[in-house]
Amino acid sequence: MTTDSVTLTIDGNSVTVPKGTKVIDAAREAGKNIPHFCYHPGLPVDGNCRMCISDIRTWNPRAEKHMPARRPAVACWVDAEENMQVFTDTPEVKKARASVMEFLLINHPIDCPICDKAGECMLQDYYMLHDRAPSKLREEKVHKPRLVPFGKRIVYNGERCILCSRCTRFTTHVTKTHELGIVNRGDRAIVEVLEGGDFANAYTDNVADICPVGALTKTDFRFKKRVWFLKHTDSVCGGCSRNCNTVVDHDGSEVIRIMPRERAGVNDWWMCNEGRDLYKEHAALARPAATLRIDGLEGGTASSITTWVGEKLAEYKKSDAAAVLVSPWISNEEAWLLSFLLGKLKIGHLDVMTGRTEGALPADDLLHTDDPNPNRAGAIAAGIVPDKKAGKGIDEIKAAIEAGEIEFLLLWGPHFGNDLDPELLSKVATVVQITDEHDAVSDAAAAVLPLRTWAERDGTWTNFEGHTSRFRRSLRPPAGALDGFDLLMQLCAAAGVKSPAKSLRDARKKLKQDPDSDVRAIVDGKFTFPEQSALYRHTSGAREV
Amino acid sequence: MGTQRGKNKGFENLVDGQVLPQPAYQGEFTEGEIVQYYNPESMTWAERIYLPYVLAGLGLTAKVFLRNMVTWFVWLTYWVRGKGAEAKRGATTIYYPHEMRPDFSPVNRGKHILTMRDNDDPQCVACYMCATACPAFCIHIVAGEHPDPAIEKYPVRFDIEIDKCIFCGYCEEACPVDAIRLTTDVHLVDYKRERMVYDREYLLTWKPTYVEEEHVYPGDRPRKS
Ligand code: SF4
Ligand code: SF4
Ligand code: SF4
Ligand code: SF4
Ligand code: FES
Repeated sequence: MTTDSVTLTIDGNSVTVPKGTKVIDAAREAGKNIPHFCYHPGLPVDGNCRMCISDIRTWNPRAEKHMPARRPAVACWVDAEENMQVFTDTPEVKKARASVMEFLLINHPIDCPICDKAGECMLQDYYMLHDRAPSKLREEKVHKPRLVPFGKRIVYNGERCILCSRCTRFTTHVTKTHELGIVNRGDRAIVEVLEGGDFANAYTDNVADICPVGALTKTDFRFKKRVWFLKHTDSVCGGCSRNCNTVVDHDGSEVIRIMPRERAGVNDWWMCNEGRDLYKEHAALARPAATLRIDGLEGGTASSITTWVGEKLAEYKKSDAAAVLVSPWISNEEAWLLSFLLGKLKIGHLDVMTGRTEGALPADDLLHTDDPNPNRAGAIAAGIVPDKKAGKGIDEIKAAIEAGEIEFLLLWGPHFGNDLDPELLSKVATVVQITDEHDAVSDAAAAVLPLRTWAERDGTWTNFEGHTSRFRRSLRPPAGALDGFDLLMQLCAAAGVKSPAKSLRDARKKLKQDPDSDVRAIVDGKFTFPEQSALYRHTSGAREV
Repeated sequence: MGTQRGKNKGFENLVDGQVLPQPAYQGEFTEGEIVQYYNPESMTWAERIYLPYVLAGLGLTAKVFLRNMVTWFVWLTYWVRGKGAEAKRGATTIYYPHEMRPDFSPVNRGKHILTMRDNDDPQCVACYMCATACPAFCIHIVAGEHPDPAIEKYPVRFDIEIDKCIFCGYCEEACPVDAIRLTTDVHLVDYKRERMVYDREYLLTWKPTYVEEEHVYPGDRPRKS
């Protein structure tokens, strides 16, 4: 056999996979989840928990028959072979699995009532699926250290640990920081932060996600909420231009935690600690109110102010005295419609701002990038660039403001403080600010319109490598906050420009098809989330952006 | 039947592939067999002049009154001799709230208590099982870190909106550590709506009004006082 792929049957279903694929991965390919603890698609194989044992029969070409298996073998270790037969739930396999469960539970404290993992714990799930037997143990269970802090963000409970070594493999092979190790032997073995070290890399929280039990839990989520009360919404982290795909766990009005979502080629399975803490920043955000400060026109509702802004934009059609600066937090759809509107009005002074710099972390070779803004690439690709002929870029716009040439300035989105100071802005006659964050300029701008944040609206962002990810609305927006895309539709109507899209969904479709647009809302790789328990099953399956 | 099976299809493998039993009354009534109950349209002659029935009603009232009267006086003759408990008293009414019935069933479901550990800490470990099981969504818990690492988790707040509670007892059944119990006490009246929310301190410390300690649940260990 010299081909690069092999064909095998999993419970009678034939599946073709590349050579070298492990049986457990081939089974996933065939839509079959082989129960496992230590296996993780993002980590090297270890094969220590024995939960994935299956009846694996190899093909003997000389005898021209399948060799009966002498004993069940671990599906996460065995390579798929041509013509192999795998049975994942025969009575013998089930019995063997129940015994594995019994061993794993010998010293487990079963303190689910006070364990934060309860509800998304693989041990719980598999106990219900494969064991369901009472403990036969008569002796007292072995006691191990509990409540051991692993750095500031993780708490370790040795009694719950099943020694699967996922966490140590994560620090060894993913972050390559080698902080965690398993020490001692037999029933005294525990995970420890290795001598003299501190568990403080930028990705520590991932070990709590991949820990199949509640041995590693996050201090940030400790006792905050039982997981079955959480609602899950697919989202994207805006912490940097990596755009890690996430699940926002919330209760409708408040984000409780942010978890990574598998996305091949972007963040794979991981995300950083800073990205998880972004929800705190979001909760503390000072939100602006719709305001108009023009003599004779004070007050007004959001829609009347929108109309006023739209008409004002139309007044500056083909004018050199108007400029638009856009924050790199704009979504692709909004950027596309905004650049279309400005193109029709022939307002060419348009650019993307520097945006946020506060959260900037040093770029590393795992996930972090040095741009702490999500969508610079997407905004530029969607057309937020100065007009080719006469348009001014951000530096020229600043110079023009300095020279008093700009009369009308539209600021879209938050975080422009790094480019423009209030003093500079006071030289512009009319400043219109459309943003989700109240700041110094909101107190002086001629018009302010409140926008919804990333957690409160739908859209897509494109990361620095060109992968587009979709975020969805998780929270109820505060009263009055406007959806960016709807607002742009109204601006189009008020400025007398016919919008090319009827709705956000329509815009996304057009974005994909538009041959002139640089944005390709392409999803590469499948979204799968086999790692989490039933809670996350709704987020699995391929998702079109 | 066929369509009914189809409708329940999704539930078939709920319990290890067993088909759930169908409702017992299924298919018993067919159309046209429906029995209707209504009052006769017309009254009889005696009913139409009312008087006989008014007198009959008065007679019934008088009968009960006289019976109570007689038994009351009989009871009085016992009472003056100091043997009041031996005879039946007249009317069956009791003088609530000065007097309360002691004869609720020991498994009657009433007001909740939270049990205590030996050091007066709540037994509850704030696992939210009761709040999850509660069909009325009337249990509200805020969990906190207990100073004793052996206990780890305990309720900082534990509120029951007793006016929403339907006394189903699910909370008690769900609790893994026997921290919440329903007593037989049914005296839930108050003048203020806010006082119908029982907080942790109250649930830990209130005493059933009349029930003997061992009467709460026969055979259970008595509550710490
Ligand atoms: S702490 Fe969790 S991930 Fe680490 S070895 Fe123990 S069970 Fe596995
Ligand atoms: S690496 Fe960037 S995008 Fe990913 S979680 Fe961290 S801040 Fe968010
Ligand atoms: S008795 Fe039923 S309704 Fe009342 S608190 Fe308990 S679970 Fe809720
Ligand atoms: S079920 Fe019991 S231990 Fe859990 S929160 Fe309710 S009262 Fe407390
Ligand atoms: S998953 Fe295969 S041995 Fe652990």
